[in-house]
Amino acid sequence: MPTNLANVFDSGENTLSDIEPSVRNLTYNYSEDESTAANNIVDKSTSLHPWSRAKEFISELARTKKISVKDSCIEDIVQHWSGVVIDCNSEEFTARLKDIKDPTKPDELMTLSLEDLNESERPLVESGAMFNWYIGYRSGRLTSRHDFSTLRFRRLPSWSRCEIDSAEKCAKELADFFGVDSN
Amino acid sequence: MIQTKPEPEIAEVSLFGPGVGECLVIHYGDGRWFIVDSCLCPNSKQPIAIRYLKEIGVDPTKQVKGIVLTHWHRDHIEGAYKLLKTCESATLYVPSAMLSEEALHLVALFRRDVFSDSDQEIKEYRDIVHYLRETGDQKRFERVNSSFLFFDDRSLNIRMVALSPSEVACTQSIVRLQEERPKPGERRKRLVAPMDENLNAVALHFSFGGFSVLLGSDLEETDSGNINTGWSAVIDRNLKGKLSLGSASLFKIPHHGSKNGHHTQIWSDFFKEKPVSITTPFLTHRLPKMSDIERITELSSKFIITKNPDPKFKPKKKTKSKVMVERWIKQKVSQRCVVNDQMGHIQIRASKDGIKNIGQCPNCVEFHEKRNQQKE
Repeated sequence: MPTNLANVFDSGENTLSDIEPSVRNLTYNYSEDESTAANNIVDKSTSLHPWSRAKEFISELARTKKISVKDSCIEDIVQHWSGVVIDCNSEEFTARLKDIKDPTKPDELMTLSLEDLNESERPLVESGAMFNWYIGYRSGRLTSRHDFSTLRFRRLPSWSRCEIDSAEKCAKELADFFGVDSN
Repeated sequence: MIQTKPEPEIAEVSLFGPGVGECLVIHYGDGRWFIVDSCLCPNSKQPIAIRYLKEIGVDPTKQVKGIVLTHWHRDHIEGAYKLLKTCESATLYVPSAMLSEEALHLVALFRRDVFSDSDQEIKEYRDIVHYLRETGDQKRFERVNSSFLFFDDRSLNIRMVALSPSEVACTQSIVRLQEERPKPGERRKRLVAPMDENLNAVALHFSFGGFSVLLGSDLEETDSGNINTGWSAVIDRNLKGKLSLGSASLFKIPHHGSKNGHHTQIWSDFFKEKPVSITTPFLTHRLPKMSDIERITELSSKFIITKNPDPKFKPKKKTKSKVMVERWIKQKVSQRCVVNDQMGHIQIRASKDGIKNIGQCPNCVEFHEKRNQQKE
C-alpha cells in the first residue's frame, strides 16, 4: 500500500520543509516490516535533522536492493550485470558480463548493438570500457508499472597531480627493492 | 585421467582452460613442480593449480619450485597472487619488462586507486609486486629474457629454457609503458596492460630425457614479420641449435591457435614428427576458429582443446533468468554464450622415452587428421 514519506516521520514544524522537494514528493511501496526495520535503523542514528533522517531511511531501503530512487519513480531491479567491453566496431560491441545479482553464475559473453545505446553513451564504447546493465520494473505516481532496460557506461575521473606525485615516490621505493637500474 | 601424483621418474604436463584462462602445471621429476600462468577454478574461484595439486596429493607449499607468469594479460594472470602466497617455496619468474621502472610506476599508480579493482590485470600484478616487497626477499623473483635457464640437470637432460622475449621485444614493451604513463588531468584508462603485450610473452622449451615440449604461451608474430620479435626472433637467432634443444613431441599451441601465433618454420624446426598439439580456447575472441583448427590438425597427430571453442554449442549448464529478462536479452543481444562455467583439463604423462598417457576431461574436444572431425 503506497505510503507517503511524510507519514514516516513525526509530524511537526520543519519536518518536510527542509527536505529536498524531490524527496518530499516521493511515494514508496514497501511492507510494514520493511518500514519498521528501516525506521529502527534510522532511530539509532545520531543525526536528527529531518533531511538526514530521510536520507538515511532512503539509503536503508535502497540497501535491501529492492527499491532504488529515481526521480519520482520506483525501480525494482530484477537483473544487474557489470560488463567490460571486449571488442567493438561501428555497429556493435561484445562484452563480458558478470551477474551482480547472482555472483555464483558464470560470466557470459554478449554482443549488443550500438543503436540500443543513448547518444551520450556511444562515444564511451571502447575496449576495456565498463558499464552496468539494469533490467527491472519501474512504476510511479503518474505511470503504471512497466519493465525497463538501462545500460550506462562508467565515467572515470582524471588523474590528479597529487596522485601522480605520490605514485612516483612509491615507484622509486619499489625500483630500489627490485634492483631497477634508473640510468 | 590419472588422479594420483606421478612417479618420481615420470614427467607431467597438465593444461587447464575454462574458456577464458590458461594454466600449465609441470612435473619435472622427483616431486618437483613448476606452474606456468594462472587461471581460476569456475566453482571455487581459487587458482586451479592449487586445487589440482592438492587433489593428487602434492604439497604446493613445498613442492612447487617456480611460477612463471608469461605475460600479464588477465587470462594468464588471474589468481597468481594467491598462487604465489600459497607456494612459499616458489620463485616468481616474469618477463624483464614487467619489473622495469615503467611497469613499477604503473603498479605504484594503481596501488590505492579504488577504480583499479575492476582491472583484473593491474589489480593482480599490483598485489603480487607489493607482496614481494613486503616479504623483503629479493631472491623470490627473477627476470626472464630469451635463453634464460629455469632449471638444468645436464646428466639427466631435464631442462627448461625460455625462448622469448627477445631484447627488442622487451625494449618495445618498456617504451610502450613509458608512452602510456598517465599525466595529471588525463582520464583514467581501462585495460592497463597493453594489448600487444603478447610480443613480450615467455615461450618455453621443456625437456625430460628424450621427451620434449614446446610451450608457446601467447607469443605472436607481428604483421610485418619483424625478425626481432615473436617467433621470427626465435628462428632468426637459431635458439634451437644454440641451446641444443631436442625435437619436441608435444606442442602447447601459441595464442589459442590464432593465425598470429603461427609460424611455419617452428613446426619444421622444433618437431621431428607430427606432435600432439594442445591448447586452450579464448572464447571472447572465438579462438581457435575453424580455419585454425583445420591448419593445426593437419600439422599434428592429434589436436586437443580444453573446451569447445564454438559458442553455438549449448552449454551443459544453462543459466536461468526470469522470463522478462530473457525477453530483453532476446531483443538486445545478437550473440550470447557462457564463459568459464566448467574447467577443461588435458593431462600428459611421459617417461624419458616419450608420452605414456594422454588424459582429458569430458569437456575437452579432440580433432584428428584422418577425418578432420571433432571427437568428444
